[in-house]
Amino acid sequence: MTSAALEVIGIRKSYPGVIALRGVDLSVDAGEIVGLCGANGAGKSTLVKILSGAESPDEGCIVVGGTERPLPTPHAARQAGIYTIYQEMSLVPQMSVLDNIFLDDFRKRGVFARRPGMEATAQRLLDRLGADVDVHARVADLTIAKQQLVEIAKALKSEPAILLLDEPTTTLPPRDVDALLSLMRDLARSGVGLIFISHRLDEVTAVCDSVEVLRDGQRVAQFDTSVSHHEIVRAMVGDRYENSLAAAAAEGAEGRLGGGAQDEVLLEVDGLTDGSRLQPCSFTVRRGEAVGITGLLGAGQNELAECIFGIRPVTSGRTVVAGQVVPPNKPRKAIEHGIGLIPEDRKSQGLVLDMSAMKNMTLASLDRFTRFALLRGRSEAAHARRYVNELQIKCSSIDQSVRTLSGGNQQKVLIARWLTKNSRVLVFAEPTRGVDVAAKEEIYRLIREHLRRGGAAVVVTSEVSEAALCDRVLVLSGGRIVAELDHDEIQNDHNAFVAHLR
Amino acid sequence: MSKTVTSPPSDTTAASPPRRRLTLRFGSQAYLVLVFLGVGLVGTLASPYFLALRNLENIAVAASVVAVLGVAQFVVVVTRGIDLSVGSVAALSTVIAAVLLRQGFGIVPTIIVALVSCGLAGFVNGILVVYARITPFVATLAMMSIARGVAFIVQVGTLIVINNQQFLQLFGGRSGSIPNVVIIALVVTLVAAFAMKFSPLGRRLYALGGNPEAARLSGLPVNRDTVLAYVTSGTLAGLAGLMLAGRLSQGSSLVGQGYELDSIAATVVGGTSLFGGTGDPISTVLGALIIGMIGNIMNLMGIQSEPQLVIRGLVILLAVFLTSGSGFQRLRHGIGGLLRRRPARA
Repeated sequence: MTSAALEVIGIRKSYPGVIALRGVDLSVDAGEIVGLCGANGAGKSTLVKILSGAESPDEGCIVVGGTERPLPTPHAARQAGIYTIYQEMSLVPQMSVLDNIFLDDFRKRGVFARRPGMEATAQRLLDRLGADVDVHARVADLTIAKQQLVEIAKALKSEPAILLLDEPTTTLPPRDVDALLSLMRDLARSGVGLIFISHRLDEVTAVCDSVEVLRDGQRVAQFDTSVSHHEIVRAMVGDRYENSLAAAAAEGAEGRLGGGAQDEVLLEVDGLTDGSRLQPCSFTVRRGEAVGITGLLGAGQNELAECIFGIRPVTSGRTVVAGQVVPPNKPRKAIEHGIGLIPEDRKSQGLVLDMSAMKNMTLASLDRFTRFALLRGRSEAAHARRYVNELQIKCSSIDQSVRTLSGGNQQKVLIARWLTKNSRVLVFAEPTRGVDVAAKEEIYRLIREHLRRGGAAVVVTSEVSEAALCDRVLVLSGGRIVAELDHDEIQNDHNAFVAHLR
Repeated sequence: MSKTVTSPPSDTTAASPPRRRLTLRFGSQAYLVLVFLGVGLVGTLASPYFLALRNLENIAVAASVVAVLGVAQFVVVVTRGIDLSVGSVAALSTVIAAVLLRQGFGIVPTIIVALVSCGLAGFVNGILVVYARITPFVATLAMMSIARGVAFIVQVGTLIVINNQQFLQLFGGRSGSIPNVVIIALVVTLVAAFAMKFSPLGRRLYALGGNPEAARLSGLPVNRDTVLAYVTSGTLAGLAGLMLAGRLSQGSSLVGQGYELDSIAATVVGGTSLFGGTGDPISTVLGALIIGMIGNIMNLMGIQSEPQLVIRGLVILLAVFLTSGSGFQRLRHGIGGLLRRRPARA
C-alpha cells in the first residue's frame, strides 16, 4: 500500500501530565506538498520533533520509502531522508556559506575542512535554488531570505526524500515569502515530498496539495486546498467553545468570566504601539470586566500584552490605570500602578523555579512583609498558607519548590503573587496553556473571583473557547484590532467570530 | 474589605506541616557536613597533631581570610555573577591601610577609607556589569588587574611595614584565647547568613540569581541590587585585606594572589551553583574550612607543595561532585545505567 515517500502511523507521545499526540497518521507522497495546521498545543511541534529525531514517540512507527525507520537521533532522521528546516536557523553565522553547507558532512575525513569539488557542489546546489549567493560570503552578512536558501541548499546536499519546513515564512518579508513558495513548488516537482507548517493560512492554501489539521494531538481533518480558510479555522478550533458554553450552562455555572462591567474604567489603552508588530491599539477595560484579546498565532495579541506591562518598548500611545498614566517601558512602574502580568511563559518570565511557593507569592510585595528591615517570616507564611487554601494550590507545604508543582498550581502561585500585591488589573497571557482541564476551571474561577472583588482582567488567548468566556472580545489580525465583539454576540453567532480570525 | 471565597484562613491545615525551615536545602547541606567530617576524619587518622588545639587554631586563622572572601564571592555568585577581583582588592586594601597608618592616621579613618575604596572598586564592577553590560567575568578580570596595579602605584616601592599597635592588635591579636580574625570571620558569616535568609535584600538576590527575568517582571530593582552585590563583595574583600595586613604586619600589592580562585573554590565546594540563586554563606564558609583542612593535613603529612596542588584540585572536584547534592544520586544512577547496559539519552 505504500507508494508514499513518508508514512507516519499511529504516533503517540505523552509528556508528564500532557498527552501531546494521540495516534497521528500522516502520509506524504514524493512530489507532494502537505500543509500542517493546528492551533497552539495541537501537537504540531511535537510531531516535528519526532520526525526530526529530536524526540522518540511512545508508540507508532515511521515508514520512509517503504521501510520502517526508527529515528532515535537527528542524525538518524537525516540518514533516513527526512530533513527539517526550523524557524530558527541552524547555521553558524560566523562561518562561510560553503563551510555551513558542508558542516554536517559525515563523509568528511582527514584534517582538511575543504576538499576538492566542494565549491562546485555548493555552487550547483545554490544554482538549483536559483540563489544568487557567494559561497565564500559569511552567513551573518546575508539577508534572512538568503540564509534560508543556504539552509535549504544544505538540506538538498543530502538529497532528502522529505523536507520538513517548520514555519519558514514567519521571519521573511512578503516578497521573499513568494519566492520561497515558488521554490517549494519547484522542489516538489523534482520529486521531494514537503511538509509545510505555517500559521498563515493563505500561504498554506496557495502552495499545498493537501492540508492536514491537528487538534488536541489528533488528526481531525484533511482538506484539499480548494477549501475556505474559514473551514480550516473551524477544524483547528473545533466545536470546543460551543461545548464549553453548553457544558457550563448544563452545570448551572456561568459561561462567562465577568459579572457585567461597572462604570469605572480601570484600564485605558490609548493608541499603544511598538512601532513594528503592533499597530496602534485602543480599548478600555472597566471594573469587573474581563476583556479577551484573541487572534491567530502571531496576530499581535502577545505583543499587546507585553506593551501594556512595559516589557516591549512602546513607541507611542499610553496606558492609563484608574485615571493615572503609567510611565511606559518599565514593568516596575506598571506594577506600582496596579497592573499584574501572568505571563505566557511562566517558567522563564514568571517563576523563580528553585524558590518555594511562598517566596514566589510574596516576591512582588516584599515591602509588605518587611518590618525593621527584616522579613516577618511568620506573617509571610501565614499569608502564603491563606492563599494556598483560598486558591486551593496543591502542594505538600508552602516551602515546596515551585519547580515540582504542576502547571496549574504554578499558575495559581503566580496569580497569588498579584493578589498579594493587590493588583487591580491582571493581564493573563494564555492563562490555561499547558494546564489540565480541572486546573483550567480553577483558574477561571480565580479570574471570576478577582473580577467580583472589583478588579479587571485582560485575557490574552489564542483559544477561542477561552475568549468566548470574556465579557468583550477584541480580535487582532496583523497587529490591528479588527473586531470588538460583545459576549452575547459571540454566543449568538459563533461563525461571525471565527470569521474574524485570519 | 474583600470577601473570602472558601473557608476562612486557619493556620493549622493539611497544606502546612509544621516543620518548614529544615526541608528546603537540607539535602546539599547534609552532604557538605558529611564531606567536612570525612576530611576531619582523614586528618585525625593521618596525623596525631591534627586535632591539637594549636593546629585547629592554625586552620581557623588561615581559613578566616578565605572565608570572608568566600562570603564576598558568594554574594556575587548568587546573582549569577562572579568576582575575580576579590584577591586584588584585598591587596589594595592592605596597601591603603599601610600607607594611611604610615602617614599617622588613626585606625578608624584608616579602616573606613580602606573599606570605602574597596567598596568603590566593587561599585565600578557593578556599574560595568549592569550598565555597560560587560559580562561579570570580563569586568572583574579587568578590575583584578586594575586594583593590583593601583596597589602597586599607591605603595611606591616594595612592601610597607605596619607598626601601628592598635591596628595589629585589632586584626592580628586575640580576644581572650580566640584570634580576632576568627571572630571577624564568624561575625561576617553569621551576619551574611542572617541577611540572606531574613532580609528583603537577601530574598531579592536569590530571586535575581534564580530567574533575573522573573525578578524584573515582579518589579524588583534588579539593577540596583546587582550593583549592591558587587559593592558588598568589594567591601568584604577590603575587610579580608585588613585581616591579611594585620596578620602579616604589612601592606603589599603582592599579597592575596590566587585568593580569587580560593574564594570561588570555597563557594562551589559549599554547594553554590555558579548559575546563581542557590547556596548560603554558611555552606561557603564550610567550603573554605574544608579546603583549609585539606591543605593543613597535607602539610602535616609532609607532602611537598607541588603534589599538594594536584591533590587539592582533585579533592575540590570530588567535593563539588558530592556537595552538588545530586552527586550521589547521579553516581548511583550512572552505575545502575551501566549495569543495565542501556544507552543514556538526554
